[in-house]
Amino acid sequence: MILKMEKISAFGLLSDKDAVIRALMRERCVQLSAPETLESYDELKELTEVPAGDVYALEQRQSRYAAALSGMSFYTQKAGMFASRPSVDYDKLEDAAMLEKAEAQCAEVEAVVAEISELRGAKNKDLFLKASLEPWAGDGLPMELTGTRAVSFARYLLPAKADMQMLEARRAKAAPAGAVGIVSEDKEQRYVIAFCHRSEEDALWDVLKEHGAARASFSGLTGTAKENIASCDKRIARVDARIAELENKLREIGKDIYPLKYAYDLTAVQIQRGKANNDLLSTRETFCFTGWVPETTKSDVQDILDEYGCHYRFEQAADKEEPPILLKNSKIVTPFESVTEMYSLPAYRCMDPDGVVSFWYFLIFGMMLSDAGLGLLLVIGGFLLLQKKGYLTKSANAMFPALVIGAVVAFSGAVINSIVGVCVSFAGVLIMGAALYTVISRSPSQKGKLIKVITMGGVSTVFWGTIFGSWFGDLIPTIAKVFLGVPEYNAFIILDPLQQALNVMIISMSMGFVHIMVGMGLKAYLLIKRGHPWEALFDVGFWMMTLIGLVAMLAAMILLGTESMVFTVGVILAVAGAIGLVLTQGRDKKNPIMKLMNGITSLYDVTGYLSDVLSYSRILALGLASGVIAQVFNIMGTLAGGGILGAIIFIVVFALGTVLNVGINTLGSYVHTARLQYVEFFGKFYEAGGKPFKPLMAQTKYIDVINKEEI
Amino acid sequence: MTDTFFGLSGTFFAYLGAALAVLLAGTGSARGVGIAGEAATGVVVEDPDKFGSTLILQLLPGTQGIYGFLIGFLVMVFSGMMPGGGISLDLGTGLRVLAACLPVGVVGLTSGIAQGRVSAAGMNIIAKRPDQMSKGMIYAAMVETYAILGFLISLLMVLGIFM
Repeated sequence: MILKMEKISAFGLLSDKDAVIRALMRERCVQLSAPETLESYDELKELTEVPAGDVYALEQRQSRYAAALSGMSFYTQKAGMFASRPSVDYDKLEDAAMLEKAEAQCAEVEAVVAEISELRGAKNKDLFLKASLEPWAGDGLPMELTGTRAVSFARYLLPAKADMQMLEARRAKAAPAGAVGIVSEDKEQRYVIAFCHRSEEDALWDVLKEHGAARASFSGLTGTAKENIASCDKRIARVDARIAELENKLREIGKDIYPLKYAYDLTAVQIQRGKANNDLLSTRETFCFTGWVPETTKSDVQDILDEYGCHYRFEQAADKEEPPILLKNSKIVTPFESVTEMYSLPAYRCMDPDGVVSFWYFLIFGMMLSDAGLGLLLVIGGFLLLQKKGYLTKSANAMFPALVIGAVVAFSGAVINSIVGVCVSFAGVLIMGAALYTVISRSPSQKGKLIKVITMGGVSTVFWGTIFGSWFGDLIPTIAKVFLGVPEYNAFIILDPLQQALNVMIISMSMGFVHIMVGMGLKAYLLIKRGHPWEALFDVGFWMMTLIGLVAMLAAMILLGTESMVFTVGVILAVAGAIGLVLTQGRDKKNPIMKLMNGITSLYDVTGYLSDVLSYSRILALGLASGVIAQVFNIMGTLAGGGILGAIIFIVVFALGTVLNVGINTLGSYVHTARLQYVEFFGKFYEAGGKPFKPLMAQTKYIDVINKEEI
Repeated sequence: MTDTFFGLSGTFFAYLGAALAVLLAGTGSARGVGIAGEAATGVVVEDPDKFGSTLILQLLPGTQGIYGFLIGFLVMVFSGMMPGGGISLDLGTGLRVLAACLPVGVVGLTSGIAQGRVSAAGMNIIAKRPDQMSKGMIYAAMVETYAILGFLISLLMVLGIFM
């Protein structure tokens, strides 16, 4: 159900503004509109004084916390995908002691992070120095040496491709008393030292320069290269030790960084409040705002505004306005809102399809996954996941034994292997269904929607798996044959999708046909509700007549023959519908010939309906896939034969195969069931494009903010 | 078993069919998963926390390979190619098995690659609008439809031959 929205305009005293915002935020009951949407915004703007509220300081503080948290990210224990989030009551959000702790933690982290980065800088410098000294390690001369009174000495870098013979020849001419020696070389450079008499210094430098030499300078260093390298190493080791020490400190802090996360979120809430404060128009003494209020929380808003003596009025949405969308459904249907939301929220004046979607999604998901064993895993696994995430209340948690009993009963039905066994399995499905129903209706509705959809789908899967006789593929017959020595174990199956693939396909497509008819029915409903009953008849009614007639003809032809009554009725319906379509589908054209042409060509749309129905054949394909994959792993597991060793190998192969199977086929069923809803079903009637209701509320990253009354 | 085709027996064609189903569909999936994986790496470099969601999207083009494998495996089981089963098919049956394996193989090859591209493009959604990720999954699933149809026909044909 789409909740009715009303537009609110409220006026109050400036001195109450902050308190009103706090209270509205707490109740999450109103979505503020931008002040520009006010009717007399221009006049009001004249009166408005620029709000004094400053969120800049808060934002600075938040970015400090964010920096500290990101600095800690390597040293914090990961909470894991399945962990639950801490929650705090809105009224107790401002906790001075905790904030102080966070400040201290933040300062500590900042200091440590700053020291680490300084140390890393120093280490890099030493590493660089060490690398540049290493080539000279062999010369054994002090780095500060520049020669004696008569002899000049210097170090040079020469390109590797410099011609040393030529250099030597020219050196002999320019500085006959000097010498040039290679200390070391690598791919790019030669590291060279040169001696000569002071008087020949310039001449030798000229020669070297011509060969591309550059002076290597190490100002400030004393001692040999080797000694310097050793002291670099010593410093690096010291820095490394200190960094390790500091990192340990960070790890120590990382064990509990709740205060920092808390402070980050608190500041975020304060910023949101500050921004809301700036968004409301204020004069020197008063403030005003407009916004959307859903009918369910109207009284909350009234209470708050009355308490602070505000003046307010509610209005209905005008026809051209698109109010935000808030859906409200029963706790069982609510999880399926996630399926609709994934497509798009409905337009305000369309309808909430979730009730219908929940039924079909449940049904088709189970038929697609279709293996009762995988279904049991989904039910139990889904419940445990909800529990781990903290989405269940205590009374919901207490239902776990009932769920397990249902699963055991369902599976034992498969072991009994007869029509009685099938009935037992169905009883197990009922027990699981009832237990899960209780679990979900006793838990907060907005949490873990997707997990709930899959968990409920698991019940449907066990139901269909019982019909198709698929329990982890043919696990039970396999065990009976290979490990228990029962050579002729015939599984009792109501409808074997391998033997009777065609029948299952017909069932799939028939379900699809009904699904599409329901979609068309909803279209007719919308048209009638909006006062267009004739269009409902022309555009939907005639098509439904035609399609149902065609299907009746087809069914009668296969099952009863063309002489039967059903066939005749089918022909009449189809022809009447088709005539109706030809006569009405061209009604927006002026020219009578064009009217007729449009009417006739509209009949080609039947191909669209045909392909829609055929699309449901994927239910059979995906259903077979999960059963056959399980069988394949069962066969592979038994290749080693019976006996203890065979059993161990079988268990390993079975476990791996089941993990793979449940992963891939749950994903496939989830996606393809959704596709059938979106393309084949929604295509018939749905009007998308609603904008979600975004109330003024505390939006946080690490902790959940809750209200006391919330269960 | 006298009838052969240029000296090739029906048994050989059944083997060829099973091999082609696994080979072509597997190649398609390998390419698709590879393309998607390259794009996923780019996303995870920026934000390692998105590993889980990128992995799901990367996995989607992997189903073609599984479908091909299933068909190949079923052909092996039904025609007795498994260890211990003696196999001898006449030429007609062998050729029919080969034909039955083609839909899942060829459609798996092309759709696996195409789906990989869509998944790779969907990685952008994970990078920029992670809350909208499921829409990327649906786009990829649109391509998979045709692999499913190919698989279905191959499966029905194989069941029709042997059951």
